[in-house]
Amino acid sequence: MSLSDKACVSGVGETVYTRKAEKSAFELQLEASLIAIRDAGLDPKEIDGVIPIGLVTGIAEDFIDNFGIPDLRFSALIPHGGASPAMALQCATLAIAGGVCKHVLIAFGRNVSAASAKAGARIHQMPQFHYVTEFELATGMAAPAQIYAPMARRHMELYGTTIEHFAEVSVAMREHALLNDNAIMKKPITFEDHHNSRMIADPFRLFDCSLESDGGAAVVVSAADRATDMPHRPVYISGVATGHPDSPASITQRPNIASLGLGKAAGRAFEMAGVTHDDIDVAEVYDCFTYAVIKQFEEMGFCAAGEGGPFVADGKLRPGGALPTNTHGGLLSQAHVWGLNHIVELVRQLRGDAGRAQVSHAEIGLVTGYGDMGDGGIAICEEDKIYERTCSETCSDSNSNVTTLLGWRCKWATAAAIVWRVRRAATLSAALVRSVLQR
Amino acid sequence: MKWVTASGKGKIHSWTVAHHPYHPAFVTEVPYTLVLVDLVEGPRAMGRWNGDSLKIGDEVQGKFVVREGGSDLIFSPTAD
Repeated sequence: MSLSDKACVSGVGETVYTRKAEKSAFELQLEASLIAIRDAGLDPKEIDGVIPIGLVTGIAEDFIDNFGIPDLRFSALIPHGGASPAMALQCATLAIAGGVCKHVLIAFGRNVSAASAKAGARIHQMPQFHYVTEFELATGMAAPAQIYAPMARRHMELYGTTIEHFAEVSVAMREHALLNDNAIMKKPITFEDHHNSRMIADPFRLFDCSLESDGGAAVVVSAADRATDMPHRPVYISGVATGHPDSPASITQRPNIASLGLGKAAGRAFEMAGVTHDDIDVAEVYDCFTYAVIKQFEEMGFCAAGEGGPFVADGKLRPGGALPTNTHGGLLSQAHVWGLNHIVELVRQLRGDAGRAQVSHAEIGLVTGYGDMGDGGIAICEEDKIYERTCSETCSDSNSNVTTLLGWRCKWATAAAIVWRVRRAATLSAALVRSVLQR
Repeated sequence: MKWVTASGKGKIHSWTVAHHPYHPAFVTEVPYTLVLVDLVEGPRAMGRWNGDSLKIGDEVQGKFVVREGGSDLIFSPTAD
C-alpha cells in the first residue's frame, strides 16, 4: 500500500512570531493548535491523534485535558529536532492510512527568550546530542553553528562554494520575509550587509544563522476521504519519506561529513508522489543555516553534489524566481519554529492563500525538515488533483445524499481542476516549444 | 578489536573558528579554532588548532597538553 494521497493537510495555524513572547511555550502551542483546528473546520474534540513536536511542551495527555478530547486514538513523539515536523507528516499519514484515526494534530510551541538555556546549553539537554555533549563539547563544539560549520567549510574547499552563494540564500529569504506580515525580520538586506555581519562560527556569519524566536505553529492532517468536509481546499501529501545520515549522532565521525539523511529520503518521496524535480513549483527548505539550503538541494537531486552554490546563484530562490523557496522568509527571516512554519506556508501556497507571497500557479510543492546532526524529512504536496476525483465520484453517485452545498463545491472543484489541467498543459507546451526553439 | 596507540599524525578534514561563545565555559576563549583531523591510524579526531592559516588536507601533528583539571588535544602544523 502506498501512502500517497491517503491524507491531506486540512488546517494550518500560527501565532504571532516575536522575540519576547509573554506566553509560555505550551500556551503558544495550544493557541496555534486551536487556530489550525478551526481552520480545518473541526471542533477540538474531533482531534483523535496528536503528535506534539519537541519533547518539552505539551504531550498527549495535555491535549486531551485542554481540548476535552473524549477518545484520542493515536499519539507519538518524534525526537529529531527540526526534522520532526516533516517526519510527523509521515507518521500522521501512516496512522491515517492504517485506519487508526482521522484527524492528527501536529503542534509546536517555543519560548526561547524566556528560557534560561540558550542554544549552546539547550541542545545538551536533548538525548540525541549526547555524543556531542560527552565527546565534543569539552573541546568547544557547543552549538549547531559550530557543529555544522566544518560541513560548510569542507563544501567550500572541495567544490568552490562561496560566501556569495550563502549571501544569495540569506538575501532571498529576506526578500520573501518582506512579503509576510508575520515575519520577524522587516528590513531588506544586501550581499554587503551579509558579508559585514559578524562572524559566528567561520564560515557562518550572523546572517547565515536562523533566528532565535518565540511562537507556535500547528497543522491538522486528515484522512483524504474527509477532504470534502473541509472549508479549505485540501492539500494532499503525495510523497513523504524520512532518512538518517550515517553516524547520525556525530557529524565528526561521519565518513562524508556533508551527507544528510535527506539524501536517502528524497528519492523515495519523489517516487511515491510520481513527480519530477521540474514539477515542483514552490519549495520550503529547512534553513537553519544558509549552507543547509544549498546542501539540501543537492541531496534532493535538484543538482549534482557540489553544484548547490551555482544552483542558487541565479536568484531562482527569490520571489518571482524559477523555484521560489521559503516564501514565508524561513527560519532565517520569518521565525524559528522548527520548520513547522514551512509546512504551514506550503499549504497556504498550494491553497492559493499566501497573500502577497503567493507564487503564481503553485500546484505542487515540497517541504523539508533537517534535524539535529542531519536527520531528514521531506513531503511533496499537491493541490486539488484528488479533490476533483473524490468530488466527481461523490457527485456521480445518484444514490448518495449529496447536499446542495457539497454539490456546489464539487462543481467548483471540477471547474478548478479543468483550469488546472489547461494551465498545466499550457505550461508544458510552452516548455516544449522553448526546448525546440533552443535546438 | 584492540587498542592502538595513535601517533597524533593526520590530515585536516575540516575546521571552523568559533567567534561567538555559545557556552559560558568558552567566553574567555573565543576566538578559537576547532579542527577535525583524519588520523593516519584511521579514526577522525577533533581538537583545538595551534597555528596560523590552515586548509583541508594539511598534514598536522596532535598531542595532549595537560592543564589544570584535564588535558586538551592540540593540533599543530607538521614541522617541515
